[in-house]
Amino acid sequence: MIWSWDYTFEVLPEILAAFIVTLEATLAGFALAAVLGLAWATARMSPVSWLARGASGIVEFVRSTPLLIQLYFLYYVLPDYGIALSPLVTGILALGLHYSCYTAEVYRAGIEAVPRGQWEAARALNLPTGTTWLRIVLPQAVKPTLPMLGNYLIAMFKDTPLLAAITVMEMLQTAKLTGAVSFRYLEPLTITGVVFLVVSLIASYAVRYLETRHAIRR
Amino acid sequence: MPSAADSILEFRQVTKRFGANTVLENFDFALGAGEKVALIGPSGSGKSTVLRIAMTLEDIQAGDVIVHGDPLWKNGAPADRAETHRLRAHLGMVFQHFHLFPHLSVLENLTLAPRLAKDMDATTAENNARELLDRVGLADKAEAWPEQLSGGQKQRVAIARALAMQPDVMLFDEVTSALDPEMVGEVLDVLRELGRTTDMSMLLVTHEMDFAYQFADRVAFMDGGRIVEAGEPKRLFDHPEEERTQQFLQRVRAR
Repeated sequence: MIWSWDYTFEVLPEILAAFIVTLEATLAGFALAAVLGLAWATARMSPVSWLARGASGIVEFVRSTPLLIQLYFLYYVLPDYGIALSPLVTGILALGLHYSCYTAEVYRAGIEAVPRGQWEAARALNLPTGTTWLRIVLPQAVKPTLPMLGNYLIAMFKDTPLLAAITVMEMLQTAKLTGAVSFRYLEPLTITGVVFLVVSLIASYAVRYLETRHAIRR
Repeated sequence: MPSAADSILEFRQVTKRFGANTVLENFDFALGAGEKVALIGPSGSGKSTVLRIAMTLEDIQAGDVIVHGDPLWKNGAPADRAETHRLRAHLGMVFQHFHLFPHLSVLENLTLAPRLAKDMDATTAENNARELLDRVGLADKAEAWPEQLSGGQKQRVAIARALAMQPDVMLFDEVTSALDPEMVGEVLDVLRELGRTTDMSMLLVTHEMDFAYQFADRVAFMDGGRIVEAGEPKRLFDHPEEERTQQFLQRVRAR
């Protein structure tokens, strides 16, 4: 099979349009993972033991099962309980939930790195616990974790092709369907791979920039 | 020693253990209203633990801690959350290592707690904060970040931050021990000024014997989790009665 530039330019707009869906899934999924992860991390450190143990259990469970199974589960089993979501929303939910269990670990490391003296100073100033978390601990805990969170964002971006399995029209699914029409898979699959490569590389450089900037400020 | 009636902070038979290690045993102490007491003694004698218990940074195994006549700790158990919050508002604490909030400006370090723990409005909090910064000689540093300050400046900000909560008891935990020698003076000057111009009660753990001598109304020598001997500075430093006090003072003077 010889590479056809004509065919390349014919399918390129379709795949780039599907890139928007990939991007939506990544950004929305990551927003969910960022917030949910913080909830897991703080819950795991709660003095309320059922809350801490419950959060630990969920995190361990989700981390120990494959994302693909979680996707299928949400897509095929939830409707049996009357919760029918669109493929894209299901995908965002699964990505967000799955990655929240990794961001939770990142946050935990960040929170544990905040010196004990900060908690003590907050207590000596009579700050309520909630205020101490929100205004003293989390602002200091989250900033050093940004490069790690960035790495998970890239990893999640590269996991979005899994959503093809539940019929989300993201890039891979679009490339596959385009290929099926013309029986030419070389160009659409190559384009898809190249888009992932280019975006991942740019994002990696951005993360490395964050890392060095943080290192300098320290 | 002041009687229970006019004491503002009182320890009754307090026992504190870290695991198998008993730090305080049946510890009794009372700080009078407006009184300035220096706690001295060898390291590991439990001096800092006394302050940390009063600030509820450590729990205790037995005894009472009374603030303004009400128990902050009763039979080794803490008061409920609301009562702890109410009583702790009487106390302010300054730490050896400052513990300024590094992500907040100097001004925000001073205004955060009054606004969020005392519901002070932002303007009042800021005015108070600027007044206090002026008082510790750092009016021009309000917009600076903690990392831009010297150790002595950081500690003066930390003092101002504690004062911003308007406590009536100040606890100073070795506030000059982490400072370079040339910065000790500026922090002690702030303490002297506070002592002169306010009627706040102060309890300070210190290794600065000359300062304790000049500044305190009463000096208490601690060893092995107890107050071995307490009295007016002149009496305690010049005519210590207990052998352990004599040994300790000889050692620190020999340095």
